[in-house]
Formats: sequence, structure tokens, C-alpha cells
Amino acid sequence: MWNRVACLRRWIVLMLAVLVVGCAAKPDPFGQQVSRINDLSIQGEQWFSRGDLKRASREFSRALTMSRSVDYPQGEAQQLNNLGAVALEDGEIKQARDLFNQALQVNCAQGQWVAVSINQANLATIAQKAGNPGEAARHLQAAQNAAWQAQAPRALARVYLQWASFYLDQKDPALAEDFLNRSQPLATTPELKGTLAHHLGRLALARGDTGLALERFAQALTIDRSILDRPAMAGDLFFLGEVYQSRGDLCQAWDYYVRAFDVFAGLGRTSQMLRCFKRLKEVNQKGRLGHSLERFEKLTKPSPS
Amino acid sequence: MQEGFTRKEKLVGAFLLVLVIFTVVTLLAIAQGKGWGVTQTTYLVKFKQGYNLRPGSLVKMFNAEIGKVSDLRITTAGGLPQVQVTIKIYKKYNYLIHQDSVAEVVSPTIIGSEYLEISPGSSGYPQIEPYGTIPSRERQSLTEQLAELVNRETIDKVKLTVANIAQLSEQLKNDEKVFLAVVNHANQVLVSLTEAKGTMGLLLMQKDLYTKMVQSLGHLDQFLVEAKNLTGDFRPSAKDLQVFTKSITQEIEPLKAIVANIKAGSEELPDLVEAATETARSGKEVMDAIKANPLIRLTAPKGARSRSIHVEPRSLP
Repeated sequence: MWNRVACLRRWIVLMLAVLVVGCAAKPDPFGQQVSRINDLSIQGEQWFSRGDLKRASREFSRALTMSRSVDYPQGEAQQLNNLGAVALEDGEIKQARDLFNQALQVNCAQGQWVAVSINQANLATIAQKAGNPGEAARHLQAAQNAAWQAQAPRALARVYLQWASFYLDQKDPALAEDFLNRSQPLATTPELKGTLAHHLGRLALARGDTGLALERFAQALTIDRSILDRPAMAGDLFFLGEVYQSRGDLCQAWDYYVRAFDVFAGLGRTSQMLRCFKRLKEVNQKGRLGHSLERFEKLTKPSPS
Repeated sequence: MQEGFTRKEKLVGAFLLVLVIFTVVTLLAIAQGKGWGVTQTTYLVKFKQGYNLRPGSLVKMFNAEIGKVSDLRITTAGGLPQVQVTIKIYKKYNYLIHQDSVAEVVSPTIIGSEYLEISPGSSGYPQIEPYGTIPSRERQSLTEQLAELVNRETIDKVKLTVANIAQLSEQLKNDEKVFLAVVNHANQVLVSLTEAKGTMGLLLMQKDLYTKMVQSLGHLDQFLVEAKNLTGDFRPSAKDLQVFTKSITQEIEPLKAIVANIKAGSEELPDLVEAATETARSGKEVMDAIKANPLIRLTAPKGARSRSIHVEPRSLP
């Protein structure tokens, strides 16, 4: 009995000692600074996902300054990339390209191949948006090589999915299917799973299989909603509207286009809102639905300020 | 042998003492009245005649007594006789007697006697030394004043004026016809006016106009009465306004105090914010230290890590 009590007491004393020693551990100022940079960057990502590009840019800029001030190249490259993403969403293609290239240089110098892969993928997106498929393919190939070098399955899955999107835009479903099949076992995160389901939906739609397309887009919407990836959700909703429109179910198409419109409006993405509005007009006219378009018209009109 | 004074002797002694004191006091009073104790400065003034001055005549400046005539004496200067007046000026007025001061005999209008008036000198001129002569101005007699008035020049001017009047009279005689014509014309104008001819005649003689004017004046009177009433109505409102203004002024005082408090508070706000930031920072450091503990780290949820954003091209058709 006595031995048990003594043993318990020893354990308690030991645990307290560990706690005290742990708490009294020497602080890590650099680690704390990195932690602050991380916090700022996460805050910026949240603003970015909400479509508040101004605030996102402010947080990323602060994180960039702090990274540079403590000689933290990894953080610097990350913030440069994120600022490039903000510029790209803002329509500043040239500035975005410059920032992605700066981030790429730092990451190459540091041997951060996963980050290099992301930078190259973003440069490919710019090229795709600029209507330059040759350049986009080159960047995607570089992104794939970097992902290989990093031995990072997720990075590779991301690149494969972007290849699939690229070939779907190029109206090449066979190659798109090939990359989707390659990415399937590697897509382990909800983000990648959502993207995979979305592109599978697009593939099915491209092949005229609207039933499968509906299934895939609904699946993508569920996943994207679970991680609150709002731009992805809006894309899923739009394609659901597209599928219903192609099936002739204009009432359903109207509903999905309205939902997509509202999510895009929340993100402040005017060009996508205009696309939704165009579809809404089409569906309303063809289906003689008699819905009022006043609300959508008001929101798509540029504000006087 | 009897020592000391008797009672009678004491009385006589006391009486004599009182008498001596009385005499001394009287003498002092007289001396003060006569100015015996006052220091004086002697000056001389010379006139062609004495002008009824006599020793004891007053010497004045700004109609205030500054001294007295002490002596009059007839002397001869350059073969011409003159009256030399010796005056004594109170020493405290010496500074007013300068080379440009002028002495003149002033006669009283009805009652009183002649006195000597001295004008004050300016500081630009040096003071006159004691027994120096103050410049004088002779007083003009009535005959002299008349003689000054009725001189040759004045007579010539009068002659010229009379001649001018005669000439004017001649001219008037010549222009009599013209003058009569003007008078006739004026008469005609007046007749026209009385007959209400012309604008002026209408204005002056027409009764309608007069009536209208009377009516207008009546309206004006009415208007003024109404205005007066209205002003009367305004008075209570103005009083209310005064009360209102007073109450606003009273209300503003606490408001001012509140604003001052807010201002004082706002000055402390940056310090407060800084303190709060510092506290939050230290709190975060404590939390970081706790999180760094191996035991806590094992059980704590894994924090989110920032990542590079991949802009996924989910392009819309």
C-alpha cells in the first residue's frame, strides 16, 4: 500500500517537473515570428476565400514584410505567390505573372519543389486565361516535373487535375480522362476530391452523359461545401444549371443559376455574375418562366463610385 | 526765610507764558499770510508807464498768483524815462520764467485793481536769471486802439466800398426793364400754377392727386399700425427666444464638460490600446510557452498551416 502511494507521488512530482521545465523552456523568438507570419497568411487566405481581395492583399503584404525582415525566404516566396493569386483574381495579369515568377525564383533557390510546382501551375493558369495553350502546357509540364522531384503525391494530383482541366478546355476528353484517372488515387484531400469530382462532371457533360454529370457535380458541391470553398461551389452550381439547361429542365436550371449568381455576388466576381445573368435571361426567355430579372440587373450594374 | 514762589507769583508767571505763546502763534500766522518765510526770486519789468500798478499788486500766471510787485521806480534808459517794476516771484515758479515770457499789465473789467500777467516761457528758451528783465508788452489805450482802427488804409477801403455800391445802384437802374420782365414772367408762371396748368400745376392744384396722396398716407398709417401690432406680437416670441437661448446655453455647459471628458479620454486611448496590445502580446507569448510544453503539445489540436494558394482554373463555359 505504502509503495503504491510513494510511486504515485513520484509520478506526480515527475509530471510537474516536466510541466515546469516545459513551460520554462527557452523561448524561440524566430519560431514565434514565423508563427505570426503563419497567422497573418492564414488570415489573408480567409479574406481571399471570401473574395475580399483588398484585405487579403493587406495581410499578405504584412506577412511578406515580416518574412523579409526575419530572413525567412520560404515565407517570402509563399506571400509573393499569394499576392500573385490576389492580383490574378483582380485581373492584373502582368503583375500576377511578375509575382509568381519572383516566388518561383526564391523557391527554386531554396529547393522548395512543392512550392515551385504550385508557382508553375499558377503561371499555367495565367497562360490559359490569356489564351496561350502552348505556354500553359510548358508551365504545367514544369509543375509536373517539380511535383515529381518533390515526391509529393498531392502536388502531383493537383497538376494532373489541372492537366485534365486544360484538355477539357481544349475539347480533348480522352486526354482529360487519362489525367483524371491518374489523379484519382492521389487525390486524398477534400479539396482535391472536390476538384476531381468537378472535372469528372465536366467530362461526363462533354460526352453528353448528363445523368453522370449531375451526379458528379452534386458530389463536388457537397465536398466543396464541406470545406467552404466558395469559388468552387459557385462553379459546381453553375455547371449544375448548365446540365439542367441541356436536359431541358429550365426551372431547375434557373434555380442553380440563381444560386451560382448569389455566391459569385458574395465574392464580388462581376464577370462570372454577368455570365450567370446571361444564362438566367436565356432560361427565363426560353422557358417563359416569367421571373423578374430586376434584382440581377441591379447587382450586375457597375456602382457609380 | 521762605523758599519757592508764592501763588500770586505763579499765576503771573503762567499768564506771561500764555501771552508769549499767543504772541508767537500770532506772529507765525501773520508771517505765513504775508509769505515772509517763502523764498522768492526778484525780476525786473520795464514799461513806458506804471498803469496804476503799486507795491503789493499781484503777479499772475494762468490767472493764478505767482508773486507780487515789490517796488516801482522811474528810471531813464537811452535818454527816455521809463517805469521799472520790481517783482518777486515765488521760487517754485522760477522754472516757468524764460526768455520768451512776456509781462503785461491787465486792467480789471469793472472791479478790482491792475495786476501783472506773465505768460509762461517755453523750455526751448533759457531761464531768466534773478534780477533779470522780463520782456514786456505795453497795454494799448482806447485812443490808441481807435487810432489803429481808423487809419488811412481803412478809410480807403470804405471809400471803395461806397463807390461800388453807387455803381451797383446805377446798374440796377439800367437793368430795371429786364428785371420787370423777369418779374412779369414769374407772375405768369404763378398764374399758370394756380390754374393747374402743366405738370407742376397739376401736381400742385389737382384735388384728385391730393386725395390720392391722402389715401396713400392713410394706407401707410394703417400699415404702420399693423407693423406696430406685429412687432408687439414679436415681443413675446422674442422673450421666448431669449428663454430658449438661455436654456440652450445652460444645456451647452454640461455638453462642453462631456466633450472635454471625451477629449481627455481620447488622449488616454492610445496608451490604453498600447497597453492592451502589450497585454495581448504577452498573453500570446504565455500561450506559446504553454503550447511548447511537450505534454500540452501531445494533446493540443494541430494548428492550421498557411499554404501557397493554387489558383484553380475552374473556368465557366
